[in-house]
Amino acid sequence: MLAPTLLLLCVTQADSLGRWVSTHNELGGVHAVAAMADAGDVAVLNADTGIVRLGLGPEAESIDLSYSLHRPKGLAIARDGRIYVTDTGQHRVMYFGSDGRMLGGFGGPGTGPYRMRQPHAIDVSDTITVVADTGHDRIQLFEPGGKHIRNLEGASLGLRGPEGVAIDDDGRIWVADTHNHRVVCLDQHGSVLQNIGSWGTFPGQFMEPSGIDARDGRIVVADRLNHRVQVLDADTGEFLESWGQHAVFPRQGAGKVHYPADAALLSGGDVVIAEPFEERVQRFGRGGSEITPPTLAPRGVQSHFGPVAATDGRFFCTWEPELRAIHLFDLDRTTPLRLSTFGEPGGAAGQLGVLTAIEVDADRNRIWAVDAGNRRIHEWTINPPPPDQPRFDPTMAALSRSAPLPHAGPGDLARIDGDLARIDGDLIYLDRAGATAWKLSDAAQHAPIEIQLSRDPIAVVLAGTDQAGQRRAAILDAEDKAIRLHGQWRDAASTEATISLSALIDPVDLAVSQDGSFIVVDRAGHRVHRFAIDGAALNAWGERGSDHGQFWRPAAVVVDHHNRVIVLDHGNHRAQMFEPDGTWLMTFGTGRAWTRKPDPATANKEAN
Amino acid sequence: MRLFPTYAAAIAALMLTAGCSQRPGLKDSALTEDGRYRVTWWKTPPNPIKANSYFELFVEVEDLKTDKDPSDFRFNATMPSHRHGMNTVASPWRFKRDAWILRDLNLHMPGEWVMTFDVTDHNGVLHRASETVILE
Amino acid sequence: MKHGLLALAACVAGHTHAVAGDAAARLEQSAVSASPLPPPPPNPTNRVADDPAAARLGHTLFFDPLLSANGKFSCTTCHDPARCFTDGKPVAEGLKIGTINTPTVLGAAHQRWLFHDGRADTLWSQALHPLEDDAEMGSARTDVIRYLAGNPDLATDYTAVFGSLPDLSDTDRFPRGARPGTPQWAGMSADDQKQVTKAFVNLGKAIEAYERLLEPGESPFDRWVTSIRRGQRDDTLMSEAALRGFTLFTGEVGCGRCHFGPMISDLEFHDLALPPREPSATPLPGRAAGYDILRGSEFRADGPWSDAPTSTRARRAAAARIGPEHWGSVRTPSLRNVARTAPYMHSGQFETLGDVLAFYNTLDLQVRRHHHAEAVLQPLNLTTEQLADLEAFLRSLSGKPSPQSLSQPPQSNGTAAPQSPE
Repeated sequence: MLAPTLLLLCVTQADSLGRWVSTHNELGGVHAVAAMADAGDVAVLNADTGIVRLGLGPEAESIDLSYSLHRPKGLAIARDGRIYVTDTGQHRVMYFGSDGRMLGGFGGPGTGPYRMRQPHAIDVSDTITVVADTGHDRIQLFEPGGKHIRNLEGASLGLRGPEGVAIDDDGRIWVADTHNHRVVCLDQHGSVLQNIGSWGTFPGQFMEPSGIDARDGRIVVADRLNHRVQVLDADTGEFLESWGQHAVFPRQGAGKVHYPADAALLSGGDVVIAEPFEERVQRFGRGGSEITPPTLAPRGVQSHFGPVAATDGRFFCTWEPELRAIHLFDLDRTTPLRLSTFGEPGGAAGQLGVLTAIEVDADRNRIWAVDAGNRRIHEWTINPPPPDQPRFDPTMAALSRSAPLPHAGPGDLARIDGDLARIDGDLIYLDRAGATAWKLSDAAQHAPIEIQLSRDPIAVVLAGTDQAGQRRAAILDAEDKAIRLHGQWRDAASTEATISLSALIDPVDLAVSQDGSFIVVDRAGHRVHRFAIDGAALNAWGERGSDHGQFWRPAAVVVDHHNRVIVLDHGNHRAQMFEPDGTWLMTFGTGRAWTRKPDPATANKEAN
Repeated sequence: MRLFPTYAAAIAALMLTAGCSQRPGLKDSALTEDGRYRVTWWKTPPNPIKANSYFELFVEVEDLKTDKDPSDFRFNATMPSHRHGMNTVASPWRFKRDAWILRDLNLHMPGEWVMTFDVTDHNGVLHRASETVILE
Repeated sequence: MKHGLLALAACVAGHTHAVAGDAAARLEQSAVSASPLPPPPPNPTNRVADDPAAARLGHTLFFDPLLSANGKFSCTTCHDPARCFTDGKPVAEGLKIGTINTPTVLGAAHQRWLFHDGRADTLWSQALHPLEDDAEMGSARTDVIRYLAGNPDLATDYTAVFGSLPDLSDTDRFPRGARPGTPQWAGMSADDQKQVTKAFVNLGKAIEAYERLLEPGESPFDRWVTSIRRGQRDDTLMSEAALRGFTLFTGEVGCGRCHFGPMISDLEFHDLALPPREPSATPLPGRAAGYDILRGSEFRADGPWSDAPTSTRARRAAAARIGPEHWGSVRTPSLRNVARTAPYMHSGQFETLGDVLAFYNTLDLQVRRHHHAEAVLQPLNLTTEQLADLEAFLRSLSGKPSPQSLSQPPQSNGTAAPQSPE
């Protein structure tokens, strides 16, 4: 298989903004950038730590707001220096003085008019504050003091998971309508003034636009899955320019763009983008240098695996967000063999939006996925080849059903082992944003489950029912950093035991190995940890990097039926397989797999 | 919409002749993966489907579990191995409560196409039947 | 044992013979599906598409440089009859140097879509684009019609087909350079705009009538297929290399996936991940943008100037689906006369047929620009001899040249054909 170059060129004219100025690394999960008061510099927000840096220079002040925030994703700096943060994990907005002193907050979980669900972005002007209330598909308007004015929402407006919002110089509100893959401009009463773009890759189209800023007649959009920045004219909506070349080598900066989450416009016309995936921020502007054309990618270049994974029997599933396709692998080979890639993007019947959870059943040849973009649960039937005659077949999985799932969002799916052939009773969906669990039904009459959940349940593992008939579940709580056990687990002291994960920075997924130990992946810590059921830390492995056995923002973990731990090494675009004791077994993607680490001499030759 | 009465007449003629032993066009059927619906389709001649030739489909949907009308029907065709779909939009026109007409369909390349028939029930649940055709 | 082996040998031989027979039958089937090229399909959106008088007018216009702003460029500047109605250049050169390789007009009446990106859905609407394009002929419809009206022969020919021309002598009412997008045009009354556009559209329809007469011509391949149809297959009508090449072309090599049918093209759009002409060239949006241009144009098959806006043809042109795979995709050219239309590909990236085949053979030069492109091509890994055979087949698609009468300006009542000034 040839590895063609991925090339997204820009129109570089003399006055182009898309010239690379600088890269600032080591900024953690930097999810938001906001121009500071005089718009000469930016403040950046690390979503992993809740720390705000006021400026990019080495002397910039860092303000620790973690005491009051959980996974904050949006930032705005008011003219008087106040810091506004969307406290996404706690469904509210908090604001602070420029010294970090908490001044107040508004919002909070719930469904009322000024309640929020996973707000992702905020902008403030002298007269209004606007919040992208992402999980409720609406924009909320407040007075500067926090008094709620109105919401911009409704079926005719039709926002879907908007993750970016900005106020322009004329008071118009620009929204990055992420899961509609478009940008809309609204007046302060919700009338649509401009409706720009659709899903796609050419100029003026977007793939999950997730950040937006407006200044001096220009709009800049962080076009996340297109790995580029687009600039539009604020008055006409006309596309002006775009730039962004996908990184070819890991951590490549120098103007290469990789999953930009937010963008800010400075007063001199410079643009700063936040790339939490790369833990960095990059600055572009007229005074910068030309971005060098990309080099040819090495053969066997890695795959864009997205942050979900599932396994059962010989099957392993993950998905590729840019393609909107699910990959199905056969694990019972020397190295995992890709059996099928299926799925296509779109909002129409049977098409895929953003998948946030996957489950697979090898006995009954079923795959399920929660689609947060289209608010549905999809079910496929697999027609696999005999184990001794594997082949790649894009038609191997057929969509059999797709039911509406109104609460589809970030979360997890878990399958109960059973004899039933229908969804009903088979699947539990953990709705992270709403902190509820649902039993999914065939007829789309999904029933909430009575189970005690904390405020940020991020992953769930089910293991049948205990002797008392109670469902046995392990739920990973990202807010309290703990695993909560429900029901009587073998050797656990009592029901509702808790395993503390306080030593981890950012636990995001959980799996159970055959000996009953828990495997937890720490995304911002770039490490995998293993705990016994009594909470004892057994072992941990991995460190930040791109070599085999290293991770870059690992996002998911499963244990296969050979008791091998498979880690979805998101930032390195690959999956890695280990023994539970941390011994590295192999690295694989949709291209080649490595079972032996190459010696440095060969590795250098390949890189050149 | 003034073309549709002509269409209705054509389809009526098709259905009348369908009662005879010699069925016009190509008739085929498939069950949705979960067995809820049977989808039957008739294709206007020529048969079989020729690559890059426009054709029409007349589709009937039978609910095998309830007596409720399906709420929606969509058709699509893709070449999974090439990662592309049709170059024409398949706009179904609901002819009866359980039958649709699709015109201006065109499978523009030889090779393996997967046709999908998506029936949405009154709960909003989508059920899919698919059929693979290989065009020479 | 010997009997068994003999029986086995006979079986194998018989089976091989049967397989060979199947292969021969398939080859002949492919051949008869690719030839002959039937007459062009009717175009009801142009009521004069098959009118000889309209064709004569269109013929004259096609060769007339006075339609262009500087009086130097006619359609034949880029669509030169002596070069198979192309220009032999990588990209078209009108008033400015363009970005797209000039396609042939021979057989264009069989195309579903015009331009590399399908921005026109009829030949008559295609003809109108270059007239008002500043990179090509750079004129404006008022000036074009004024010229027509001021030339007695042209005016007579026009009136015979379409009725009277509007009187554009009042340059206050019909300013010079007035075309949509200019202030001069905006200053005209709606009725005046309609008058001018109507005549302009008629001009395009006349040009289409002429272009429908331009056929690719019978080629050695066509003559060979005729012999098959007659049941008297005569392989001497093609060279051995071309025959081998045709077997490859329609077989496993897979050219026939996109190049099939009498036009040796599916008439649709594909993305080959071709390298751009210059590394810094703006990526081509192709079909995805072309369809937007078409839908925004007043000259669509289902638009106000069509003579059959609700026809099947118009309906189908309006029902095109544009998906993520269409960004960067470009129209599949017909391979008839391909040996005569170098350079090749949409920006003239390849000088020779050998270069084209080398590209397909290894795909080393591919430049993939986005994740949603279709994945039809695989490297062929053919030998040099096999590539030569393929090239020989492509050369066998060169048809007899167009009749002299169509390849030069028509003579009109004894007056000379229009000469360009100086």
